[in-house]
Amino acid sequence: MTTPSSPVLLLNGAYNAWQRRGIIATLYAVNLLLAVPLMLTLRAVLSNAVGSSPYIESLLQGYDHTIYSDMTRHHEEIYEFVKRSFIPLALVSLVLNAILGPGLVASFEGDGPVRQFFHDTARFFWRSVRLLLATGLVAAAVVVVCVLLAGAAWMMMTKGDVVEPTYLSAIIVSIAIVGLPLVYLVLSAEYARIFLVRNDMSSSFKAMWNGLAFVGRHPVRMAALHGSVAVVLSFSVLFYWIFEDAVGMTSVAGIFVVLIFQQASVLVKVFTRVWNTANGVGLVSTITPDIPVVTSQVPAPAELQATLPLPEPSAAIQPVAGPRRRRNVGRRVGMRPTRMQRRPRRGRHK
Amino acid sequence: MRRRTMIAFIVTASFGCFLQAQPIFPQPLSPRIANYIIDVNLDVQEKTLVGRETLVWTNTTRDNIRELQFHLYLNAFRNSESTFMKALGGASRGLSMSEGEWGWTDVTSMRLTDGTDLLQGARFIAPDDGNARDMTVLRVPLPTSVRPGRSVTVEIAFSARLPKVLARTGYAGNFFFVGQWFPKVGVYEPKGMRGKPAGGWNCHQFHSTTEFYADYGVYDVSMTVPKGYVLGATGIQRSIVERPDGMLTHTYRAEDVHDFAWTCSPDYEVVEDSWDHVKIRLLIQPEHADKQERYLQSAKEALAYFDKWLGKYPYSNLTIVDPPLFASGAGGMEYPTLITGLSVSYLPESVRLVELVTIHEFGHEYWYGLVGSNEFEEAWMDEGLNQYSEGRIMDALYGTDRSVLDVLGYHEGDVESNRISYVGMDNPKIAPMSIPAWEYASGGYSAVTYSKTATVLATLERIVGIRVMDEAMRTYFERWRFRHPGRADFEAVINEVVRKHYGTAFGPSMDWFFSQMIGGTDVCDYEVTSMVSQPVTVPRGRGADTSRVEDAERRFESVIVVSRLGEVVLPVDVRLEFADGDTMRMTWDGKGRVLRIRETRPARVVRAEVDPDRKLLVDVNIINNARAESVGTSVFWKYALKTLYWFQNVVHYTALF
Ligand SMILES: [Zn+2]
Repeated sequence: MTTPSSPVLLLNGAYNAWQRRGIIATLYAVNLLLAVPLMLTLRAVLSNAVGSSPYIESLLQGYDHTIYSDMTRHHEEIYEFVKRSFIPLALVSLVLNAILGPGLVASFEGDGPVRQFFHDTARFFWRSVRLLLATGLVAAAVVVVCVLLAGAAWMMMTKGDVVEPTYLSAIIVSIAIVGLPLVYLVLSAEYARIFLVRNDMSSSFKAMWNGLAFVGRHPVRMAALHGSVAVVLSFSVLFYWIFEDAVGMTSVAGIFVVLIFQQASVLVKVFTRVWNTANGVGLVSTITPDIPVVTSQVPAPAELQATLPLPEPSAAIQPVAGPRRRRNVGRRVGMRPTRMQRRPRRGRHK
Repeated sequence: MRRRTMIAFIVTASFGCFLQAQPIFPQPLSPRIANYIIDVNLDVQEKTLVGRETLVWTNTTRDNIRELQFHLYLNAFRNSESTFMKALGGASRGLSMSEGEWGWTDVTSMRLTDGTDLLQGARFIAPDDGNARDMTVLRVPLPTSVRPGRSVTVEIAFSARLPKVLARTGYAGNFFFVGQWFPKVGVYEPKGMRGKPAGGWNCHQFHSTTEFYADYGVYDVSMTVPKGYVLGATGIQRSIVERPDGMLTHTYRAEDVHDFAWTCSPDYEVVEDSWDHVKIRLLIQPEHADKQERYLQSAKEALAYFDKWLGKYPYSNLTIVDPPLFASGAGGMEYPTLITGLSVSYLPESVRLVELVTIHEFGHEYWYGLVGSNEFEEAWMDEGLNQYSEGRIMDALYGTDRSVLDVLGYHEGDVESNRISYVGMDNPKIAPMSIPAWEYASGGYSAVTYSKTATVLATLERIVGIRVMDEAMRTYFERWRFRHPGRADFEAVINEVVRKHYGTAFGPSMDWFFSQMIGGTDVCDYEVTSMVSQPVTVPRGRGADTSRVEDAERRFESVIVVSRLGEVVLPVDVRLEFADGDTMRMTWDGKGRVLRIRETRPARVVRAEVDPDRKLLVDVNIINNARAESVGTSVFWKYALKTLYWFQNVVHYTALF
């Protein structure tokens, strides 16, 4: 045993994410900045369209199919606005992805001050764009191939007179054929970004390749670290829907309460995202230890072993009190450097 | 052993024949014009039927009838050139036809009892579209005419191949649904019947949308299928006899029905239940076993509703057939005493597909089965009346706002769903309800026939009141069961009952309603266009009467403009509400384009509504039916914030994946 167990990494990741509240707040603010103007415009569109009809008020008490459908049929501008908003919003967000992604990874190198975050976003911007494009290209190829494969599987499984359980299996198999490679790819892109930033790599394609290799080598770790985050995320989404349904947005107070909860839910999502990156950075730093800058809070395996078993989460994050920057952590426990890490490092600042 | 089997077969077969002839009803319920004895063998490997049929047809008219016309429905599936397949473009209900899956009927012999061959002069005709390649109607000249009150007996031999289930009938795997399968005589309509200017055969081609119109009669049908196949059919089972070759002959008798369908499959699970005098037999696929309660419960609810609403279901049994998913084209169909439902595994209870289809198809036992309107020519009187009935039952059972669907906060009721299917059409003026089904060349058949009719009848119900409507529907049912009514007959009953209750309050008749709604394509749309209140102007200046100034200062003049945006003219109520809580109601005949209401009162008008009780479900836009001085803005925040969450999710997952 040379690296900390997944639960330990998860707890440390959560702690590290929590330490970067400033960044979480920044990401959340960016989100609001983009979404709120659209929301306010939509509100104005609604008001202009049907503001004089008191029948609209029945929609406050819950869904009213007659009113809702008449409203949207006779005032197409409402749906039009929403539909027209989504694609530009997604495109702007995609650009933001190239900006924010590397900053987020880099923030785990220091204590994560927001200033440093913005500095790193700028430094890695073009490489990050290239990485995004590389991911997009690979994803497109993977999707094309997998959709063809899934189509073939679907045809084979649903040939002849088949009943629903067979269709269900075919749906599951088809989704798996397309979905699993995509999950693999998204995770690889995440690790590629980590490598790009941590190793200050100049080639985004190489980083992508390293990401693919790394994820491929550690499937169990991936499932444990990122699967757990996905489960937490799914629960938070589910919980939000149940909450919204239970409270109902049927009064001013109800709307306000749901709004608060809704925003809390978005914050939780941002947190889980940062946590996810923290887990990735934590894993990379413990498995590829010769990289000089390691996340500050991931404790040394030796120390971790001393603290295990972990009775409480607080115990797990205790080692944080130790040295903030830990270099050559892995070497102490005799890890073999990977090919990537044997490559001579480039200067941090060109 | 073999000899013994032979003897046993002969004995049981004779007993079967004896039973077969035993009547079900002590007195005939219908005129019994077209009566059949059919003996048919199903080859489950080849998907073929070989049958012999004896038709005894009685001329109940005053005309001398010189020919017979027969439906050969299965020829719709003969090739891509039939009128049916052309209309479908080769696909129906998500299924399409490939090589080796076609179906057909060949009449191999047709003779009178004296041996006269009738096939010699027989020709295929295409009365609806002149399609020379369509072989679904066979005209058979008779050597001598059938005189009024006389019968003709025709011996027919036919062989048929079932199509792969595309729509309604056929096979899929080892599921067989045998509907529209035997050479079936059309309806001879004398002059005056359903407004016909001259007597003649009414025997339409098989269309992709409609198929039914036939005379009532008695059916004695023996179906031979392999052992191990569970069989269900129209009517009552009289015997099951094992033949020497190991096949089983199931014999059924049905009286006072106008069609006969049957089904068999080795996969069916049989569930039996009953409601009052009716034995219910559900033939269900094993993978849908968990839906059996939903089938049975909704069938019983439908039986109870119709019984109370219109009158007794006279038959003693009802068979419900649950087709497998791969034969869903056979689902949602109606035949006398036998209906096909529709279900899908994993379907949550809040998606009431099973209930909706069962209730709808059972409704056809009344609107199609008992009241034999002409579905070809007046589909709205069959599908439309039934859709209206379905809406009433579904909404009564499961709630007006969620009877069809209630999933994750989204819900819709049956009546409102019908309304939206009609008013939400791309072009609700595409065609009137009253045209024959095959004339919906540019589409809109189902939205107009089903949904518009249901909405029109629901509007009529709200205009005349539910009690009067119920009485009218019951009268129509009682008067026309086991007969063939037309549009005028339906309208006459409504007019009669409305006049009985309201005199001429709605005018000499309701024709103003029928002509616009059944015969017309125009739409109805009322609107509150504007609503303004201003303090009454005080007379000023030299010589002005200022004696009542103080009074005038405390009064408001309100002007409300109500417009008729659609072409349809229906009387409509207008309701005004004032700031002091006072309300005012009036009825507008809707004849002008605009109604201007000027009202001076101590308070401002705060709300104006046209059709406040929402009687006119045919109004294509309800949103513009009201105007208020102030509308709560919370609802806009609600939807804006709900959408904010989606916007935020897009940003989150795209910016930070
Ligand atoms: Zn129907």
